[in-house]
Amino acid sequence: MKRFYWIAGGVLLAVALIVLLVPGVGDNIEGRLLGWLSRNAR
Amino acid sequence: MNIDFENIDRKAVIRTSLRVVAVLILIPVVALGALMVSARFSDGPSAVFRGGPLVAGELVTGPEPDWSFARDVREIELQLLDPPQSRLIWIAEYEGRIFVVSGYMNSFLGGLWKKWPAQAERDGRAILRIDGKRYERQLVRIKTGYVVEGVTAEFSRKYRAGMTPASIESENTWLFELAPRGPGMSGASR
Repeated sequence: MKRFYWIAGGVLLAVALIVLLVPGVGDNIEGRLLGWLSRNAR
Repeated sequence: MNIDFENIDRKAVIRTSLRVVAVLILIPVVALGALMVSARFSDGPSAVFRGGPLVAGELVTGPEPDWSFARDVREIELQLLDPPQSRLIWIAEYEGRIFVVSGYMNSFLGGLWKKWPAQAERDGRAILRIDGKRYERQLVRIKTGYVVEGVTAEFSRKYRAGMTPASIESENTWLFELAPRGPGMSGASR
């Protein structure tokens, strides 16, 4: 069980680092979110 | 390989499955949270998230600028002084004056998403940044008047937004003029 939490924490930390540090990833996510908000905020 | 299904601990399988699902749900939450926190500490906003105060760029002072150049500007950065947060926003120029809008104000998501219009109504002091230059302005909400028709038509032409004076009157869209800032000004509406 302890190993599961280590793996899960590692995955989430990796996600945060990828979003912040890999060029284009954050912009891509924000573009998708903006499109979704525009379609659904009516 | 033969699996002994009778001896599988079903509770353990369900527990593990729920934990995996929780991690899968947390992945987008963490991604968006990281972007939101990162934007908050940036000089200016991102496409979706509010940014920090607008720091970089020459502060333009002196006589009122000729705002006709704003017709070709797609989005500007707008920061309120209170709270000192910035966002990207559409802009329209009409008769030498500049305007911004906030839509979806009557929708549920709009209510969650758009906090700045109410903040601007309380304290309209703002800073714009356009093409790297900063301008001190005063947000003044406009609900009626002859400019409403012209400004909504300009927004519709520029952004194909389908904006009408009726949307301003119904308060689904809030219209603000970015007026020159006078001494001692805070919030106002017309």
